[in-house]
Parts: sequence; C-alpha cells; structure tokens
Amino acid sequence: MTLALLGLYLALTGVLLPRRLARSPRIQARLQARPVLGAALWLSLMASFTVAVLLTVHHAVEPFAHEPAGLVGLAGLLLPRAAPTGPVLPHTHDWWQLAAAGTALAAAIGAVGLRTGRARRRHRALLDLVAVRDRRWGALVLDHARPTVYCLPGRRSRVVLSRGALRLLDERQLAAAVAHEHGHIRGRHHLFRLPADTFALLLGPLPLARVGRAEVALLLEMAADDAALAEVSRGELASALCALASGAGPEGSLAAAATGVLARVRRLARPGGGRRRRLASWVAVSALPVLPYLLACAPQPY
Amino acid sequence: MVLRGFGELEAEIMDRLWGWGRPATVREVVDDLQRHRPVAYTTVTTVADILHTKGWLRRDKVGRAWVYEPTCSREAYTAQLMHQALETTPDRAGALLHFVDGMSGDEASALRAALDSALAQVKARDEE
Repeated sequence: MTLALLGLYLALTGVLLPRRLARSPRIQARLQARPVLGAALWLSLMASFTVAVLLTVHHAVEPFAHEPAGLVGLAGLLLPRAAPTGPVLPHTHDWWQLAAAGTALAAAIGAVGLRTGRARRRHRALLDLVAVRDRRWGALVLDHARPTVYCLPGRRSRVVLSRGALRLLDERQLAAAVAHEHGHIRGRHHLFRLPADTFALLLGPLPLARVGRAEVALLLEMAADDAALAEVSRGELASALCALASGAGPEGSLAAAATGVLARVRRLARPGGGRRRRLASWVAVSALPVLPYLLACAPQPY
Repeated sequence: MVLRGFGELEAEIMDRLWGWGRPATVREVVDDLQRHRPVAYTTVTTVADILHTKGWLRRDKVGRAWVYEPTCSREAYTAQLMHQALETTPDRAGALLHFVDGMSGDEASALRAALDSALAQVKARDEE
C-alpha cells in the first residue's frame, strides 16, 4: 500500500508534473513572473523526488515495520473499512540510514561542484593572463571578433566581454549585459544550478531532470534580467539580448544571451512583472521535500 | 593581497613578453616594469619562475641568465578561452543556440522575425 503510494508519487513528480509545468503557458507565465521562486520550486520538486526514492528503497528493504503508516494509516481513521487489522507498531528509523543517505547526496553534489569549480578556476587563471582590464565596465576584455558576454560566478567572480561584443553593442546595451551578469553574480545563481545539474547528471532521461534543469537555467536568466532592469530599460535589455542571440557561455559560467532568448524577450514585453514575494509560496515550496515522508512514514495520530 | 599582487605581476610579465614577440631576460622585463612602478628584481624572478612552473613560459639558458618566452601566443590562448565560452551545454538553450548555425534559412529568418516583433513590443511598452 505504502509502496504503491510512493510509486504514484514518483510518477507524479518525476514525469507528469514536470511535463505539465513546462507545457502550460499559463503556469509558465506564473513561474516566470517570480523567477527565483520558480527555480526554487523546480529544485524543491527534485529534492522531493529524491526523498521519495530513498523512502521507496527503505520500504522495499524493510517492509515489516511500516504497514500501515503515515497518511496511509491516517486513511484508516476516515475509512474504517480500510483500517489496519493488526496492531500498529510505532516505528523508529536508525539514525545511520538518514546519515548515510545525506552523506551520499552531499558527496554527489560536492563532486559535481568540485569539477565545475576546477573548470572555472582554470578558465579564470588563463583569463587573468590573457584578457585586458576595462575599468569603465569593471570587466575583462577578450580580444576576439565573436561577440559574447559572460561571467564566472563565485567568490572571485569575473565579467567578460569580447572585443566583438564591445563593437556590436552600444553603450546602453553594454550596460544592460554587464548589469545582467552582475545579477547572476550577486544572486549566486551558480548555487541554484549546481543541485539541478547534479540531479540531471544522476537521472539523465527522467523528465523532471531534463526539463527541470533547462527550466532552472532559463528562470535564472530571467532573474538576472530582472536585476538588470534596475539599471536599464526593458527595450535596452531586449535589444542587447537580440543582438547577442548568437553567442553562448562556457560550462560553469553564465552567458548573457545563452538561454531561451526568445522566451526572455517575450517576457520583457509582457505586462506586470512585479517582484512581490509572498512568504506563503516560499513555505509551500520548501515543504515539498517533506511530503513523501508524511505520506509514507509520519507517526500515527493514535 | 600578496596573491592578488602576484596575479597582476604575472599578467604584466606575460603582456610584455607577448608584446615584444621575442625571448627576453628577467632584467629586461624588470627595467621595463620599473618605468611605471618600483618592483624588485627578485620578485620578478620568482614570478617568472612560477609562470615557468605553470607552463605559461619556457626558458633557455643563454650565458648565465635565463631567457624566457611564452609557450603559446596570446591569440591561441584567447581562441581557447572563446572556444570554452561558446561551447554549448546540453540544456535547452544550448540546443536552441546551437541550432542557429545549422538552421535552414527559413528557420533562421522565422526566429529573427519572432525576435524582432517581440523587441518591437518591448519598445512599445517602454514608451507607454
């Protein structure tokens, strides 16, 4: 019973919900209205899915202490016919199981983080030798004809412009691109991408992994666009995006125009876009990972 | 701070060697640097040694002094960085942008038209 419920939950969060979230234009517009919250929702879904997987394994290995438990047991209160026949055992979990699962997850994220960090450091070392400092934009300039703007996030962050970008973009467009990159750096967007990338690496073909990772990347671009709007107008930002639409960014860095340019320009044209933050949505989003636990293992009310 | 200072000196040394386009001794580099600011000979020797260890510079002994030369041209390193910068990651955006190069003329112009009309909408919104 509990296993079936967990299976249902896995199918829902792993396959059905991600497809629905990514396909419905109405939901997309709502997520994009508050992009950081939207990205948090995707990450929370991934965390929730992971918890459900761990619990499924746990229940499959040790089924005896569990039936019926959690909300499944609670259903017995509402539907007396489905009530448990035997005595309900209050069950405890060994602390080492939780610790082991937590350590394994942290190790996976840490390994991906180390790899990205190394690529970023190597790129930065070369960059610092080769690029020319531009004090006006507070950026490094690469002497290359291909127009591109990107940043290396992290503690020793860098914003990079190519000579081609300096030639292609006018003053205001450059201001927009640089403000966008500072939005990435200040918002620490690379820390959002790390768990999403790790999840995608571990569970590649799963819709939640594939769609989720792309959506998180796009929503973070939109969050950086919002940050840039503090300094430039929508038109200036949109025209910079269109001009740079043929450039992309390195692995471990975030390019100004790499992700979903058309979606971003269309979003800039949309009315509204207020950046309200409601506490309730954040609480709901952060509660998602606990849901499978409540379904499967929560203590009985009697 | 010390580390950061070294980083800058590394860039300055490389900048000079690339600019001259010929092998040079630490003495020559120090003399040129000292036109702008005071810098100790031993410091430059140390940093040149670091650059050699890191593989940025190669050196030959000529007489009693080491003669340094960049292992690669500035253009080659820049091209390497740009290659990394333009590499597309396997997310949706990467795929879409990767598409632009290999797209048929019709598809590319459709994307451009969509961008143009969206841009016009944004600008109309700004004027409101």
